[in-house]
Amino acid sequence: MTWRQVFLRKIGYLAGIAVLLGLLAWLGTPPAPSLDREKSSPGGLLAQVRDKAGLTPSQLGELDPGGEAVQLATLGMRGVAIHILWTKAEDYKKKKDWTNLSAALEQMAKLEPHFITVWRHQGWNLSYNVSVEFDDYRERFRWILRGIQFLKTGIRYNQREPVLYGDVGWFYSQKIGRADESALFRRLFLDPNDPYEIHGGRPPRDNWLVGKDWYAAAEKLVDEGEVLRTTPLVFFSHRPMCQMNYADAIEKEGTFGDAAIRAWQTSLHEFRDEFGHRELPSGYKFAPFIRMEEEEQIRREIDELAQQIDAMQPGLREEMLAERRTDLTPEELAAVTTPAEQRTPLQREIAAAMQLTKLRMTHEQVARRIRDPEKRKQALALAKKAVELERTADAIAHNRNIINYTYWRRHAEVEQTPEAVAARELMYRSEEAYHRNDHITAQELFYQAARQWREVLDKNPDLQYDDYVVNDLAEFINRYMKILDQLDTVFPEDFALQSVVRRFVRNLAAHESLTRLMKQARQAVEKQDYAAARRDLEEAFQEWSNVLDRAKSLKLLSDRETAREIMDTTALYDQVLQALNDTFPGQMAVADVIRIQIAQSPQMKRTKQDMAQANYILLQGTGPAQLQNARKLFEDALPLAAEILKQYPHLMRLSERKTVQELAELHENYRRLLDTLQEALPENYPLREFADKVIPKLLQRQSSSTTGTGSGS
Amino acid sequence: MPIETDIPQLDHWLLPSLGIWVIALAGLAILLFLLGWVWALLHGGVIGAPRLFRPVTRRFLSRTWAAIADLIFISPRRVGALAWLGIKEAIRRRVIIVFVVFLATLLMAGWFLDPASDNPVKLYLNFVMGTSDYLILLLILLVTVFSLPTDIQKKTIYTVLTKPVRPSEIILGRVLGFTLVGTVLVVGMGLISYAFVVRGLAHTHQIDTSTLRPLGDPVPQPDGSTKTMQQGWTTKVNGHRHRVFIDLQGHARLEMEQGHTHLAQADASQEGGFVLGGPEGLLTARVAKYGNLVFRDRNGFDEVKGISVGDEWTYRSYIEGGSEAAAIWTFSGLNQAELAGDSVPVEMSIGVFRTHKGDMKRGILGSLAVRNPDTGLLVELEVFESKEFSILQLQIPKKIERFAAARFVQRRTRSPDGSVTFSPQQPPASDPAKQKAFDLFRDLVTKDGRLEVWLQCLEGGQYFGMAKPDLYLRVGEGTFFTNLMKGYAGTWCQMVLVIVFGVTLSTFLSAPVAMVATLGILVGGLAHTFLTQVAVGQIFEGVETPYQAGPIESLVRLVTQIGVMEEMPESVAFHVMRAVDTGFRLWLESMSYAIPPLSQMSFAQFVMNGYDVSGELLLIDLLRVLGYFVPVFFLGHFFLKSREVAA
Repeated sequence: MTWRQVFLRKIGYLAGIAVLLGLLAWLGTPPAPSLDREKSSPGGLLAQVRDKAGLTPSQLGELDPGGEAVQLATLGMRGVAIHILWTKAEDYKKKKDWTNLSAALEQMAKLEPHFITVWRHQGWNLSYNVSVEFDDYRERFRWILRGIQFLKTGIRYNQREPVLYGDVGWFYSQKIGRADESALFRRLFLDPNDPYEIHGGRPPRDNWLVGKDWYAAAEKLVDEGEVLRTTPLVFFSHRPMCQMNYADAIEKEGTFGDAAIRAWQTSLHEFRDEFGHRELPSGYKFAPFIRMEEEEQIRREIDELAQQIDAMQPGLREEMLAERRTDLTPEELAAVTTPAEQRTPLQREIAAAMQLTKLRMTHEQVARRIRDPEKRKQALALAKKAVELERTADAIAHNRNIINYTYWRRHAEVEQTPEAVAARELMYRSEEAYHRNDHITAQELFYQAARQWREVLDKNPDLQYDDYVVNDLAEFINRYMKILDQLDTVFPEDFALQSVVRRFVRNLAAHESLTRLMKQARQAVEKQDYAAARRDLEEAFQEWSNVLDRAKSLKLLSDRETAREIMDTTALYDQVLQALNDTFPGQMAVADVIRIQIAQSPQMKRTKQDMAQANYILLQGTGPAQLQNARKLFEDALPLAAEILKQYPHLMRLSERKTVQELAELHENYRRLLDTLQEALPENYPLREFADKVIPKLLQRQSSSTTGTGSGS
Repeated sequence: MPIETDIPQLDHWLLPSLGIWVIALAGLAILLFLLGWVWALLHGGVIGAPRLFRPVTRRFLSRTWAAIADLIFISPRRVGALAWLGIKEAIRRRVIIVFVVFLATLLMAGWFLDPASDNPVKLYLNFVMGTSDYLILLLILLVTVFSLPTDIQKKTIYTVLTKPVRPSEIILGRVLGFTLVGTVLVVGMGLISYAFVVRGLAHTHQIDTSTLRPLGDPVPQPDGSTKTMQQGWTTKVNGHRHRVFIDLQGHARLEMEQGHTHLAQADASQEGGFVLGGPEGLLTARVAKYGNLVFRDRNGFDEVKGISVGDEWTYRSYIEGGSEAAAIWTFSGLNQAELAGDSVPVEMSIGVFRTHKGDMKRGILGSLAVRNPDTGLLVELEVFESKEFSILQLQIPKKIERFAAARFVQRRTRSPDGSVTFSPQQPPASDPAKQKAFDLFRDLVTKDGRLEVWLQCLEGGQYFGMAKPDLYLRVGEGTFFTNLMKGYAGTWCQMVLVIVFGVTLSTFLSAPVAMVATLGILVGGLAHTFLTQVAVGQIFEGVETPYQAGPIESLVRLVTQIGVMEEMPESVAFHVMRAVDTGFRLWLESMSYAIPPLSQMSFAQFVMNGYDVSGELLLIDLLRVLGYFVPVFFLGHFFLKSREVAA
């Protein structure tokens, strides 16, 4: 290579360097702001693009010279450093080294202050994963606040990031308000001394409301045009739900009256009037934006259009429907014709399926069948419009389902009524009395609460068919069983919420299956196929046991009608056993229900009372007068016992051992008394059959079960 | 928090380590001798002329003897002179620059170190000790590996070699010189660190009078007036504040926060009426006596480990509550004279695992008992409430008059054949339950000074987790300054090893290669635990996996996406892969013995968690240094000698 070539190549390199540097300067010159507008410069292309997109550090949030210096100190290895720190943080968490974990998070935040995932993930880590590692609930609470604090620091650097505000709202509301320890956490949160310095010198504010404020701040940013990196539907529902949860929480803690009513009114306003009217993306191309509250309006419009179509040829729709019904099987027809609220779960499924298949009738189909061509044309135009509206309404309905919109709206509507608030108050006071061990007051308040709920249900009959409401109330009734258990009593016959229990039971799959089994068993009995009937009935008892597991209150007769159904099953089983000449097996799941039912009958109550009195007299002494008094009491009880056996004939086949034992005891004590008096059992002894046939069987069963246990052990 | 590593005990560590060391040293010596001999024979042309065997061997033996004599007859004066040369060279290379870097790092540290953290002492010490450790080790590495090669390259070494100097003296002189310079660095950094930590954490508060509220009912006083106790808060400094209690006598007491409290002195001139002192109990050096831990399972049989509650970190083992399960620490060498006071403080920090919520407002109840290992007498001292991640102190009185129960308890061990052995065999003649008081040293500590401490969880369905260092007897209190210096003694030991390796490797390698090799040893030493785990194929602690952590297997699993918990299909290739991997692992295992365990030589964990570094631990570190120094120094001597001959 000659000298000249070398020289030219060097010149070429220099020129290349100059061009590249020039390009770099053009692209990367930093902005030079100045008070004097003429002197200020917007900087290079990159700086201008950054500025336009709102990505300059000063636009994102606070500037941190320390963090910037550290970022520079990593010499472009920031990503590597973050990765190492992240791994270390995970290791510190695993090894429960909280001091170093906090330090590692701090360093990460300094290195990547605008990396939203770091703030969100690690904030969650602190509040949710680290906090639960602590056994002491106060420590847990402190770490939840640490997670929140971490997120708030994130907000300082990223002041226009809605999800960070949303996360703070979620932690304040859900993490504190929904944890297992929420009662304890809320007490710490609302401590007037504010030992955790949450409220910054202001009076303590409820965690749900604090959460709501943060959601409001997040919503404001979105409304101002910031990008929302989450599902808008769910995101916007959080704020009104915080208010709803607040109202719920204050009632749980004993605040009622106007305050509760106001809280619920605000809930409804924010949920229905604000959130319900907010324009939200639907996820469907044909109706990209929807409003939750518009569904009813659209459905009304569709109905009007349908009426207009129907008016063009009256009776056509019914005619078409009748045609379609001819295609249905008897089972499908039954499901469709049963009123919606009376359908069993299976019938509900069938009916829904039929609406989508065999009975599906579009407005267009109706319109096409209109005979008059002119009217048909008009009707088709109307039908097209109706179909479009229907699609939009369905899109809204789908979105509503995601967040259970209809339920929460109705919930807020009902809960704000003075009756509902009064019912909740009675429930609360009843619970309080229970914890004070004042069981009588607790019981009384509970019944009042039940009556109050009845009033609410009567005023809002649709609630009775709302599964959520029914489940809620069934849980409430189950909870109050413990009061009745303490008092050794059962639900009164006029218990106001029996229909709710019934509805709850009917909704259970087990109930549906036992209804089918009972039907099969009855048919088998008719055909005198007792073995098959027995199989079905034993399966039915298994289902009853499943029902009783879910609706525990039934054991204390919370719904007499369902209890009677159990007795019906028992009676049918008894009939089968009688035919097979067998007795009831021991350990029946429904035995408790049978025993309690019998124990609640006036005859059984009286029999037990007489027996107890007679035994007491005999314990005092066995003089002639005492023997006579006891005899009289026994002879009063015997016909009542006979009446019980007549009323519950299955007792003769040992359907409920404890009751049979009690009756056997009555017979035995009376017989011993007569022995003492050297008399034989009278001719017309009311329990003769029982004594001759049932008692030996009982003894036999008892001895076999004892032997069985003995050999087993 | 307690130490979370296994603490070696000299009596358990010394003999096995010494055994391995002697074998390794002898093996190395024989290997070198044989290699040297073969090399001498080949070099001496024995293959062509077998008659030269004898004279060549004789010459080899005489030279070997001369080399050994060189090693033995070292002149301290010459070594001293060479050490001075080393010092001058180090100063010429501006090692002082490391102080500037260290100070600059400390200035920047303020951005990261949060005095409001839960445990600021740990954070500060972790930082200063970690930074100084890395700085010193890297600096000393650079100084040592470039020293000899540069001398050789620049031929300045001849100014030394022309004098009657032995290679061993050159190496020893360099090592000594650099060690002296390094010592000054370590001491300097130790002092700066001390000042940084003490000043960084020094603070005081004031009592915030606006927060003071009456506590309890007013108490009538003799003069007819009434007084009420008060409670409130101090002002917030360093991200925390203390709860204050003022009693009826007007004495103020501050609650512990961030591991410290402050003393309050009444001073009417101050706002709030009190002046508060500096932090108390923040910088500590607890002198702990550790015992050996075994577990007792729910049926009362001894086990090496407790139950796993599914925690990813298997460091702690758990015992089941409401059963016979217990954690048993056996302490030895206890004597009355060593343990002053009326009682022996026992400190613990145990993990809690709940399988049901239980009473969330309080901790889980546990019991502490002591047992005589010889007689089987067990005295239940007290019931305590657990508190995780903090240290709970209980007392074992020397005269035990108040106790929950006393009974005879046998330890049961089940051997693999199913037979059960009891310890002790015989119950005592008198029923311990009838005894009203016990003397700790007469009734419970054995004649040779052993004592068992039993910990049990009292609530069914709940678990306590523990590891050996989680419970210890607190036998005294050292000063923080001394402890920090002892911590830096660990760094010093690491530094000496780096110097020894650096100087030795530079005797036969060029400077850059020696640097890489020493750096490899340094990194390997700092990751020694991981290295050993990989070498023995136990990368996942406590997890059964078919994965054996070999390089080929790892690669195959990565490419074929076969997870580490999945068995690989068996084939010829599989067996070849395993064989090659085993070779790699054996190599790694031998390396793990050759590379000094630098990570285990650091005492930072002790210092930052507030535990005294015992003389025993220091001695173990010094022995480790000596153990590596001897063979590496010999090697260096022989290499330099052969190099000189070759030159």
